[in-house]
Amino acid sequence: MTTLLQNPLRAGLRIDRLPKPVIMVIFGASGDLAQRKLLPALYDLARERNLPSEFTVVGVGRSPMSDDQFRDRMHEGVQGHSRDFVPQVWEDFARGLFYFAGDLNQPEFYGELRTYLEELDTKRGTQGNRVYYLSIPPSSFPVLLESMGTQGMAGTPETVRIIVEKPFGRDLKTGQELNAIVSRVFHEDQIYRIDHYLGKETVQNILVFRFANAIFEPLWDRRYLDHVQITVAETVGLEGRGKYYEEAGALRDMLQNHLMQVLTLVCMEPPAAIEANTVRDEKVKVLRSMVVMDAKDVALNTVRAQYSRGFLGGKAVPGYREEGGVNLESITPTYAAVKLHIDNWRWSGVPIYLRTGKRLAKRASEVSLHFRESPSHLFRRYSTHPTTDVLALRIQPDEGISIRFDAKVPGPDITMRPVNMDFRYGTTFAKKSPEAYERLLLDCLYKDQTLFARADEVEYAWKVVTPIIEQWTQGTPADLASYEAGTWGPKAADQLLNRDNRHWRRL
Amino acid sequence: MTPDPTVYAIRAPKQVPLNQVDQELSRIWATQDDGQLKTRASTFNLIVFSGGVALDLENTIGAVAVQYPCRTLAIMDDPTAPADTVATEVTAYCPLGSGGQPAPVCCEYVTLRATGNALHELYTTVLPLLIPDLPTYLWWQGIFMPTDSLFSNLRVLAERLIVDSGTPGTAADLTTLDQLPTDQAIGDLNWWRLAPWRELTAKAFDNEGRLAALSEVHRVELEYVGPNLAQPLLFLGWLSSRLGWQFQEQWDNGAVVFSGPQGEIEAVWREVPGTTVGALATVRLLINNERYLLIRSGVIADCVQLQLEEEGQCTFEQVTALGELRLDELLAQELQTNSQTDPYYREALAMACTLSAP
Repeated sequence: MTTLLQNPLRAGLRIDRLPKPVIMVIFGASGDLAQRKLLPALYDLARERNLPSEFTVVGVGRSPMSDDQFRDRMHEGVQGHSRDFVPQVWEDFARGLFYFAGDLNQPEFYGELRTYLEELDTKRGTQGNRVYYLSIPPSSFPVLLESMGTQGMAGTPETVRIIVEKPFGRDLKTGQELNAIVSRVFHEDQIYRIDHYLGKETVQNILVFRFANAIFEPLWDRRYLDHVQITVAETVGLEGRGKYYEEAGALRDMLQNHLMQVLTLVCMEPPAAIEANTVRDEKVKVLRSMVVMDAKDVALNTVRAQYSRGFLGGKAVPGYREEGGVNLESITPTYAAVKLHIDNWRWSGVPIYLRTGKRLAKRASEVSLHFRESPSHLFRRYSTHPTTDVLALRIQPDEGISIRFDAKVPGPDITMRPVNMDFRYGTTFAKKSPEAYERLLLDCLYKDQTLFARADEVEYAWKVVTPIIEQWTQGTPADLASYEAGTWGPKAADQLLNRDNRHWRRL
Repeated sequence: MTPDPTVYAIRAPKQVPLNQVDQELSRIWATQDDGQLKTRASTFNLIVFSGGVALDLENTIGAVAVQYPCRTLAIMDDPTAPADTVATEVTAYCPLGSGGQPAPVCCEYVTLRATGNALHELYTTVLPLLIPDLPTYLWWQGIFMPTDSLFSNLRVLAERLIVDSGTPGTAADLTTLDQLPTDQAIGDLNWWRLAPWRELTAKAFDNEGRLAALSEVHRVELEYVGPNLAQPLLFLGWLSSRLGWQFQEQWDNGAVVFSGPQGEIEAVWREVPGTTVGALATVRLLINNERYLLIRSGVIADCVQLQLEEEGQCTFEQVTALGELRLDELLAQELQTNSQTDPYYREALAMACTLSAP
């Protein structure tokens, strides 16, 4: 990042800083991510004048392609997925796109790449600054990273950064190995582990909601809360990613990263400052306080399931084992529900229930905090529905915050009914939120790691999740519950809460 | 009244007595769709005043309704209004989203028509109609009269005064704006029209190598679409105040001369034909050693092109989208800022006034 206040014309402008001129090298540029997410996000940043004019993208991939072919391919993606496509601005932006083909598994390739990038530095004025984006399978990391180290491409935190896409390993052991491989070449200050969930406005708003308002935080602990639920429900199936998903499953694909990230933001203590390591320190403290389950706990406190064929949105959808790339006898869970405990001063005795799944009834992500019942029995006999107060943070869709509480129904008798007090982003702010990747890529260019996972954060999350994976792997197909596509998951998940005299919030 | 086609009225405007405005608004919200109370969010009060003719009501409703949920009090100086009373109409507008579906961001809209004394005393009518404990902005679209009692009373009531120095006829006069008390927060929509020009000019000098060239600027040439001079004057006011240039004199040919850290700087502006009245069209900064920075609109449709030429070669070029900003977009930018006047606007305004009446 460069602060531009030494330029007197920058003072008071909407953007009082710009990233340094830089080449973003995207490894795996012929893949979907670059076309559908990365380039549209970069283009939108350029359109809003958030990037320096020297900003350059070099796509790297195995497929032979000319610069123009690469530009054409990205043009499709940007036109289809950017927030506002202006052809003239695209033409200007596209002049900074280049493509370099080669075999990433060949160490000598990296010498050629380094020379090519140095030539571009002269041509584009990018001064040796680099952001490497690894949009490739982790299996390619060792050769790539070692070769970059050998070729002296790792630079310093000031000049070079590397963005790593999830999955950050498959379990604790592989997560640690991956961290070790990356950190042999790059300093932690250079490593940006990207989880696009953290780029969502509503996820970031959790911190604002909690720590910018004085009225909620005093209620945010074991004295007033009964339990917390975090749900990330998808209606989509595999979308052609059967092979990947067979290896991942719901725990690795969603729970270890997205849900755990949300959990840490909901449960962390107020940080001393909104600064990368200060915030991440607090998130890590939450993960370190989490109770790691043994085999007995896993059997009692987790539910896994796989969807069978059903109807969604009025259309028949296949079951998981009928999807392309899926083993006919697969035991990969597409649904996971987990009850976790945080053993610290704030959360002791307050269970945190997480659930995530594919092909569920509705696309919805939400955090709900369920309050204890009021200590007084004054009105209990007047309540038609025994309910507790709930504070819900809706992440998507219909982003917002609602509070459910009891109110008196008008009339001579005392009759109570739960009512909702609702704040919706959509009814309050007309401004469109930037895409998650836009925010995260810009943060990386600014050298701000706050919204990126740190090595220890990833490893502690694996420490919590790995025992569950191990137990589930040892299980038999009979242990795997089933749920019909288009429903809210297996009965066993309902029982997980019913045992505690609780139930999942209806979304 | 036919409001902007991108918004629709939840219910046709209805005349009500002043003391029933709140009840009527509650009725509008309570009777939506299934009879359930809809979300009724509010983020601020907006008082809009237009002197004389129809307050460009269509644009105003469109601009406000697509922004934030708020309560708008539109004050109209209407000679046909009954003497000594205020005619009040109440409705609520929502924008149409993509596909023509109503979007949920709606604004309550209260129109107050009055004339003569009733208009001048309208301040006390406005007070009880404001939603308590929310910021209040005054968007003054009418002819600017600082001594007018309605203006001075409403101005004090509002956290910020919003004007548009770029609208001929009803525009705020730069000198009058400059004479407002310094603690009066001012938002000038025309300042936002200049934002892309200021950003692009700044961007040309972000590079450390080019930053030094800023002190070597010796001539500024501006072209604008007349007759409103506010944009070129504010731009030049901003540039000169930011670079520490002191105004020296104005020559007979209209050129002004500044003294800068490295010597004299000459600045000229001229009118060019165009469709967007008052818009800046070209900025050209001449720098020592045959270098110049050129920013111009109109060459590429809906874009501004920036070029830095050094020794006859283009060494830096960028194209930025710059369609003509709609009123709602300008208002959105203004409402997203905090309530203080941009101090750089104040600087630019002071210099612009010096240049317009040296």
